[in-house]
Amino acid sequence: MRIRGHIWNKILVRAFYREHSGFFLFIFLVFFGVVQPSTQLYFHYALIRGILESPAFMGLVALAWVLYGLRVRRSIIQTFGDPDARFLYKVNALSPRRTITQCVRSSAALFGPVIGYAVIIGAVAIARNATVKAIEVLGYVALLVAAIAWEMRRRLKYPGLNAANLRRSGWRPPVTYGSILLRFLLAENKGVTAAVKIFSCAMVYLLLRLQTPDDYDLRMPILAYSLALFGHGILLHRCRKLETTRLLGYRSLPVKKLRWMAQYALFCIVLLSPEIIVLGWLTPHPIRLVDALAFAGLGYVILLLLYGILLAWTVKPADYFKLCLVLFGILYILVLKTWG
Amino acid sequence: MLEFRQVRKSYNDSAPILDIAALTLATGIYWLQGANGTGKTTLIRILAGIVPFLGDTLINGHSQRREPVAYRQLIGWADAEPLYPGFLTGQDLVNFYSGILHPESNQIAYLLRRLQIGDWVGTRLAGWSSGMTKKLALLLAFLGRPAWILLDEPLITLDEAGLAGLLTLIGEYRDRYGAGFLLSSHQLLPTGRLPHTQNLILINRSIQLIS
Repeated sequence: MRIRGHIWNKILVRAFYREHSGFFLFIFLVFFGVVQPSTQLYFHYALIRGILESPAFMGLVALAWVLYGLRVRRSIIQTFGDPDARFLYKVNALSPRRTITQCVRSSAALFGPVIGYAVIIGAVAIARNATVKAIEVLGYVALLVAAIAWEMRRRLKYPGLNAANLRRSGWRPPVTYGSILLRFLLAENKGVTAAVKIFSCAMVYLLLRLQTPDDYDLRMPILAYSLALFGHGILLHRCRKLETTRLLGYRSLPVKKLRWMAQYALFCIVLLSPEIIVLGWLTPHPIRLVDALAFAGLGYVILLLLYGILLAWTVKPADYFKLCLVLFGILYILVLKTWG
Repeated sequence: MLEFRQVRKSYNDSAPILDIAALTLATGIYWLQGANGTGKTTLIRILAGIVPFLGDTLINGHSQRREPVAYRQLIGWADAEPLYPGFLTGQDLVNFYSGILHPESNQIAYLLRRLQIGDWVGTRLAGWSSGMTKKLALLLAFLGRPAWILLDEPLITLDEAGLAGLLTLIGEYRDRYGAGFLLSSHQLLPTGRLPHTQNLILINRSIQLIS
């Protein structure tokens, strides 16, 4: 029993958290990095009060948790579909009660951060005599956990369940290597791609919007923008993993070096296009044309560098993430030294 | 003609898994046997240009090191348990490969018919069984005009009709186009299924021809 639980945790839970370590770090930075340490407690208390008092805010949080649940669901589907994890289906040999218990445990472990935050919200609600709200919040999270456990059980019961993918497709865009990588991001990494791109574009827009001719300082916008660009590392790492597993045959095809490199160059341009559009929108005011070009060029060079590293070496996600942080640190020092 | 020149491969600085000093295989059909872990898949992937290694391999005089594009024009490769992105359709992959290999106009239809995946090719690969995926991998290996076709464990997961289609294709490509085949397996070739096949065995990190 303990061994089974351990293996399940390793395959489903730990793998999920490892894969999303960048995302969790990002959330951590957003929640704890923007406020001074002395005001952390007050900030989070105010945030929770806002969630409890404003239905719109509560709805937003509920939506975020659903999106998190969808990400968990996708991860489960991927794991159960992975040939290396087929042995998980052995759990079907157990009694239904034990199988369901295992699914609920794993689901709860996958929802760990959400449950933790919901419990804090619940405690604050009870302290403020809003017990019904506490029950609502905790009940909602329990429902999400149950839904994922049910999905897990369903996948276990019906191996190969993939009816949605059997539908015939209509028009298909032309197939190039870059388009396969882009489709991979849009089809299998919607959430992360959207989060990275929205964050990156928001950084560019919000920080450059504040620039005025009298107070024109691009150091903070450059640093925030490059942080967002290094966040693209997670997308590029996943693309590289796709290349080395499910697009392995491409290496055996007769593709000239120039064409091979041009495909990556084009892919990075397309990936950066939302930021380029935002920059174009903000030019010539509030940002000068030459600076907009510098922003676009810097972004492009960073993306190429990040992909180049992956093409040259096989790097584990954790090591790659550390490398991105080191590169960001170097850039940080360079920016401050150059414009400080 | 397929040549090995000082081919050496090891993983993570350990003892080499393959060490083939020199070997030349005339065009023909070769059944490469070897126990699990002897390096059959690695050898096939080295020849396909997928795995880095020391030394060189040549096909009809074209070196993998010096003429990587010309070399790769001459090979077709199918993995033992192929994996493809589930969001693509079979047609997407065929179109993608065709854009690089430029097959004759009727070759795709012919291969689809032979391997019996025409009804499925427009659907997303996520819904394909392992047998169907294997057939698609075989189709892609036969696409274009490969001089040598490298098939890793070609018989596993194939149904009887698929197996018959594959063996017919091998015979046709050999007779019509003079293609050579290197087929790897840890099993013996079913008796009488593929005449004129020569047996190779991967043993002690090298290849030996079994007469």
